[in-house]
Amino acid sequence: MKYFIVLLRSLPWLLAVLLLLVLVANVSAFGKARYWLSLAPQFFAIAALAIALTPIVLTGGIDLSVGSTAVLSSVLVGVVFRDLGAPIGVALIAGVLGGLCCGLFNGLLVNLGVLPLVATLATRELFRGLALALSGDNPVTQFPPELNALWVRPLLGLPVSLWGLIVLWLIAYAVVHHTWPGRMLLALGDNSEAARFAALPVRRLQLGIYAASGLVAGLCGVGLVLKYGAAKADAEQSLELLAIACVVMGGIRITGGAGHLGGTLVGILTVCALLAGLSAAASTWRDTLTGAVLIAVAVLGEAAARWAAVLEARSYRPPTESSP
Amino acid sequence: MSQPIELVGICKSFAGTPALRGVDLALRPGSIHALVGENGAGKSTLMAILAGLLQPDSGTLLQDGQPVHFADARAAWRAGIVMVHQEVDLFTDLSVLENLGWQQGFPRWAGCIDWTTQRKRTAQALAAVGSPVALDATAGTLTPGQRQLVEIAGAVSRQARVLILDEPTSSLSARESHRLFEFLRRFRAEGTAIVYVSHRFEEIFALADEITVLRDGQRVWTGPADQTTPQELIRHMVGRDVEVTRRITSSGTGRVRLACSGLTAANGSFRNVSLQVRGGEILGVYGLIGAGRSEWAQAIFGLEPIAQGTLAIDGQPIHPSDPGTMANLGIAYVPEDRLRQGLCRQLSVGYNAVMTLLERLAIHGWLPPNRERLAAQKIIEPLRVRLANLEQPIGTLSGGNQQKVILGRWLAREPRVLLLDEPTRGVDVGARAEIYTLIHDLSQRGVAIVLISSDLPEVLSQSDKLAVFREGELVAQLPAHEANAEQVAELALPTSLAQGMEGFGSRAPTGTTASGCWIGGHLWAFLRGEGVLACFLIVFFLAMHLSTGRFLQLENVRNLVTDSALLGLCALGAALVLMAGGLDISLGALLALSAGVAGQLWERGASLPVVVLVAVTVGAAGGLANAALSLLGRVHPIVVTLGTMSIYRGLTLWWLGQDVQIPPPRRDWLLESWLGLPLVSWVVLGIAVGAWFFLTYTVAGRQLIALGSNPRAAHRVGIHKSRVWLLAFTVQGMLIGLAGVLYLARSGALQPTSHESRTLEAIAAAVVGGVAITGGRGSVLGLLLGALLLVAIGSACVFLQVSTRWQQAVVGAVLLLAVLADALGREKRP
Repeated sequence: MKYFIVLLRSLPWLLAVLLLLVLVANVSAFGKARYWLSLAPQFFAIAALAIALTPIVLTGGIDLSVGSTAVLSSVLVGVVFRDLGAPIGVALIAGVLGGLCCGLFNGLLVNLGVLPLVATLATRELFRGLALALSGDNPVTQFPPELNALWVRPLLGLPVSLWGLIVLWLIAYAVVHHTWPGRMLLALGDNSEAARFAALPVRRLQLGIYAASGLVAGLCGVGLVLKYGAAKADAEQSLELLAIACVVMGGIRITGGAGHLGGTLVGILTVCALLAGLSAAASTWRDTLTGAVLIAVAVLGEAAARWAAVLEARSYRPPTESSP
Repeated sequence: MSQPIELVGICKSFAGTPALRGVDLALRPGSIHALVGENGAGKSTLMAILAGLLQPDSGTLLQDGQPVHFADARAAWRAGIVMVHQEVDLFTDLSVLENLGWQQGFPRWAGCIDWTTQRKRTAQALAAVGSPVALDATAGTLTPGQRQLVEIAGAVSRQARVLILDEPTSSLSARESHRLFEFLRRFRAEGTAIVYVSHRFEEIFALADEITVLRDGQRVWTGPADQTTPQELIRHMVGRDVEVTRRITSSGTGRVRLACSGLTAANGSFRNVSLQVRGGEILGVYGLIGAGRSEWAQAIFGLEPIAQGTLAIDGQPIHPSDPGTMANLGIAYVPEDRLRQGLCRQLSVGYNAVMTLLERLAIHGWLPPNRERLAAQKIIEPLRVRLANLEQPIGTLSGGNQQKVILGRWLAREPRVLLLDEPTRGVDVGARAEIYTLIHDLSQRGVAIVLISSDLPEVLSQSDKLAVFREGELVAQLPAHEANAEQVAELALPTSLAQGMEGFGSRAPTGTTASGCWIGGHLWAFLRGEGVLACFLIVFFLAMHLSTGRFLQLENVRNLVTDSALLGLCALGAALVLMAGGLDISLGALLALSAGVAGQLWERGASLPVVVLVAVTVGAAGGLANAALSLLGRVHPIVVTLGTMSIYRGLTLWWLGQDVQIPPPRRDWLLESWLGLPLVSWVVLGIAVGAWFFLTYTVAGRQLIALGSNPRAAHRVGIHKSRVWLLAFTVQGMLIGLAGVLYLARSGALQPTSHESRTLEAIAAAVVGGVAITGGRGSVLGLLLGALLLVAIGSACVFLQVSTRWQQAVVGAVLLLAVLADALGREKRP
């Protein structure tokens, strides 16, 4: 019975693994390791944002503006480099800092009492608009060629982007599961009122996770510049959706209070494999299928979690009270 | 003579702890029956069973001699049993007029709500209980006393056979209480049986014919009011064998650890509290619920702001800022409401135990799981918590064991001052004794302990010193060994005939309007709400025209009106869902899909009615899917609509092989003018009027708003969330479908990725126009004006030669400002 409960709670990412196996079996390209390695540069942004979103979703929040922040950061890099004439290194740092500022802005809004959903829905529009406005009629497309080489040339056999993802995931894993701020996130997600009464620094934590999300989005923006050698403001329209899909498929509960970064990893692998497998097919089906899979996993995961909670309550009936 | 209701042998337990043990209660028609007892004696449980809110474990209810069974509150209501709760749960966004309508049922006329009759009824009901509140006042702006009277008015006007009043005068002033008593006597004369639950003896002896005393879940005495005295009642209420060992009083020579002087809460819940607690001493704080004890302790812990007064810990003056700082200074607070304020129910017992220690356990920030587990074991072990293992969710433990874990998490901080708020509420006898031992051991180590409790024997036997709170003030301090139960109980009882006290903790009412003529009320509401927006728009238009000279030209105005009509249609759809408490971000994608499908037919020669029908059907199907998935899957609409947004976008790409083009002759007539404005805008205006009528005059429309305002209260009055959401989402889809066709007519072409930004624009227009993001508020006129504003800003950007690139940023900024204003405004409202 206990194993059944564990099974129920892990349903989302078990489904993800199942999907993964189906894809591997049916798409011949998945058999080769090199193909998997080539996915990393392609889906760097989605994976990085999924990792950054995990702490936020653990607290029961959400950040819909990550895609727009990434794009804004990439535009900032272009603007600082070309229009302000700064060296490329400074421009890249400016882009990352820009992302951090966006994240801090989101955190401030949430601390002021705006629902994370609503706040990031609004900032999503605002940041994208700023990106469009700043990039102007002629987006920056002339970056030093060394940048793209940096992206493409493998480092110790693996693509730079994969190294970036590994480092990012390790840092996130360490912080969320092995440091005290990370451990506090679960309490925020389960019962924020109880967290407040237990003297947890709720406001600082919220500011921190949204700022971190912005920082990672800034890094993604830099990644976009490296990858495409251009800073386009209308790029990457559905990054948020795909990143959230990774998180949901990794079994992180959307209402907060449960989840593990290992699950996020599984979710990322599955979503990227799904997208890669579908890229051969018409891109029209990509969107439809992703949306359908997201809903299906969310619904099934929620139903399974409820069932598991009922079973657990029954199984842990306290032993009969014996007088001490 | 009929017997309105009789309870026989009622038993009820909660999680193994008995709340009622074989209670009988017989009510006679045309009498007032008072029910007294301490907190926890079982009065609320008994009344909840009587009113159909709870089911008894055993026992029967008899009405007119026949056994009856109330499956829920509505069933009891239909049988003529009406209850006025102590905790008033009104629809805070709605008017008093409407709140009473939900309680009593709305009068109908030709299927619509007859507001005129409703106004008469409400005015009568309010006058009967003597409430001066205006009919159109928003319920959220009323003081607690006024809200209580409104609740009473709603219940009594229903011609009940049995009327249950739970602490009705707890928020009322002396004058209001007197008026209520007159009304109750009149009601009694008409044959109603009234149950009056109260602590106020003066009232009981003035009103009641019969009195029943409950103690520890049992009925200990019933008799006529004129055959007993207050002292005798108190003796019945508190007299019991003291099962727990009396505390060996400390010598009281420890240094003063907690000292507060003149402490007054910012919201008035307690005033001018001055006391001291020494190390090793247990101060028992006794008082009734609402006396201000918890608020005082929470203020010391930094959870509530303080207006005046000083506080010192170990002689060091401090100003309470936030719980984190206060905890670091050595103050610990164990909250009163274990469920809402203490437990993270789905997380493990081990985690809950170390929740307060996470920062301290870490080494340079690093917290390995082993350290956490070991610390949890060290905390849990001495508490003798009965559990299977540390990993089990704390929600599966019994109340007593949960309380021990919460206590443990604060004991592990080694506090200097420990504030315990009702630590043994809902805890069985065995765990209770263990908790007392823990507290005692802690005091031996020199900790200053404050024990807030409504359990008189507990507070008498476990404290060294006693402090009694009454209605926000500290009225007495005395050594425990000198106090006796009856004396302390009497000290805590409020004096209902207090002179000139208009209900403590009340605020001056805002937003009450003169209940004059109907049009006057509406005009005032308009001026405060949409009127501001309208004025802003007028100023904006004039300013633009003055600076560019061309803004108000006929051609531009016509364009503005057309575009804002189209956006207004989308905003109307978005508003319906928002007002019902939902959110749909797939709006734009659904717009594109329905426009694409219908547009292709149009391109190939289908007639306009067919095109519109197809578009509306596709939209309706999309909206229905959104609602169904959210409701059935029990997934938050944001996730569902995020997914469906993608699905609809994909379907649009798939269906439309290429862009859709509609040649001008087929569509121009839609843009022709009729009485000066394009036909399109008349269509939208007509729909808007229909929507306004729906939201104002139909029960379904009011249900939508009520659901968004307060889902819990909505459930109580019988509103089905599923029906309302299915309606709201589907209608939104239909409006979006229509908008799709109209947009197609306007622009003549459609790309599969058009209208991506329409979602945000529609939501922005709605929020600017006064629709609350969280639901419960909104106006059709407002959202139309909001749409006009957004379109005007866009047009202004063109005229001022601001690049269109800035438009999206501007929309985002406008939405952000509107959302921020909404959030900040929400915090200010009670």
